[in-house]
Amino acid sequence: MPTNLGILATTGIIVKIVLLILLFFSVVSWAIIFFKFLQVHRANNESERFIDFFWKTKRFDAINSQLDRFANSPLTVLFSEAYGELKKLMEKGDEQVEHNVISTDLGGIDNIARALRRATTSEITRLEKYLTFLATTGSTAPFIGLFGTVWGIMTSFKGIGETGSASLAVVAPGIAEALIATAIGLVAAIPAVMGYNHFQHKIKVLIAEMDSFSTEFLNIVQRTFAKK
Amino acid sequence: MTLQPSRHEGRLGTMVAVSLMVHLTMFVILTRANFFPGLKYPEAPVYYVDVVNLPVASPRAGSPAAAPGPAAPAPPPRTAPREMTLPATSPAKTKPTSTPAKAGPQKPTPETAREFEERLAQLERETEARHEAAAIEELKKRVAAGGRAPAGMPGATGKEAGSDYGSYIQSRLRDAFKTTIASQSKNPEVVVHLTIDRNGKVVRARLERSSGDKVFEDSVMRAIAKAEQNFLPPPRGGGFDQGFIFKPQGVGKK
Repeated sequence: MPTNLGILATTGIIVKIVLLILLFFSVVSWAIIFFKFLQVHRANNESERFIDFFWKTKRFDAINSQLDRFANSPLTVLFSEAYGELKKLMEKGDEQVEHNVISTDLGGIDNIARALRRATTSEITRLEKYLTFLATTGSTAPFIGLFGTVWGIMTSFKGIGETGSASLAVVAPGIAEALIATAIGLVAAIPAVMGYNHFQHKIKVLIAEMDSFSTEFLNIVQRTFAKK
Repeated sequence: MTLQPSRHEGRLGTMVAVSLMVHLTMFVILTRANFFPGLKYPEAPVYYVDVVNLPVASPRAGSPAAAPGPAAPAPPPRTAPREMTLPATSPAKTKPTSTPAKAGPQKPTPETAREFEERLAQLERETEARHEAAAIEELKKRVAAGGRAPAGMPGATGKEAGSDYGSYIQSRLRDAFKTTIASQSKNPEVVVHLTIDRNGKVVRARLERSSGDKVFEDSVMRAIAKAEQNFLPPPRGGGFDQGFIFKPQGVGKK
């Protein structure tokens, strides 16, 4: 039997529980890292492609019909919401024209701005989902591992007391199992912290893109439709 | 509210399964593979000298300690006459009654002392010649056997263990056990029955008795695996079968 497996097999019940908790943290953290990596990677790529498509295509209805091609981009949600609001306003505007009612375009712009803000918020919430677990793992896993270490060292000191000798043969196994708990705590925490920082940065970039897209969209709407 | 674009995001449950697989793979790799083979501590080679298997030329002629014996008693007869002559002349005249004990050894004359010395020297020579002849005869016999003698014996090739194979295995186990010993309990004890084939390989290491200290058991098994690498084959081309007792103090034969 390999030595590492042997050490794990001889650990006490408390250290085993600590190791299981750390394993759970690590497995879920890596699952979130994989999940977020795909989500953010797709969002970035499709946002770039959508921006290109948006500026090349002049018609909003044409863009709206092609949204499924960029489904993973948060900008498509913004566009979809804003376009829906714009359509409602235009339908309302037509009715007002028919009934000879004077309307203020600025109120319509506000509605679109509110729709864009709401969509941005919901997209930020979607992108930041599960990231708190990474932050929790990064901050608590080393402490949980440290608890296992302290417990293991306590056990080895107890062993010294029982055997009456402080030889390396008595102390070493307890310290080895103690250090394994710290090592696994760090192994769980380090990728979680790195992943958290990486995704936070990527999400900030996406938020900036959403803000600038919202501004651009409002400008276009004001330029084009406010004349009516 | 407009229609949301349909998204193709992976499910978190799938990712958890993937993550679990990755963890299992890493666990297996970390426990099985040796990433730092160069980090092994260099072990100084151990040269064994099996004193217990040194040849005794003629066991029936007496113990090996008797061989240097004849040389040691030789000087006293040489010095004794000198001492004897001096007190024999002077103190005998002055204090004849005060030294009755010394009168005994003073009795032999220089002639008798010389005779005694000559006889003793002759006896020594004869004994020595007999020992030499027996030793040479034994050596000739061993060499004639064609190098089949056990290691440490005359005519041996060094590829076969000595006659006391149990002690030989015990000494190798003891040395290996010093490097692997580890325990978690107070007085751990493990009895392992070893079966060694004619090539010196441990074919079976049966745990006969254990005090229940898993760490100690593991250290014993590692010691056996380590010592086994250098076992010489048992003498006379046969197998070997014996139990060994492992304690923190050392290794004993059962």
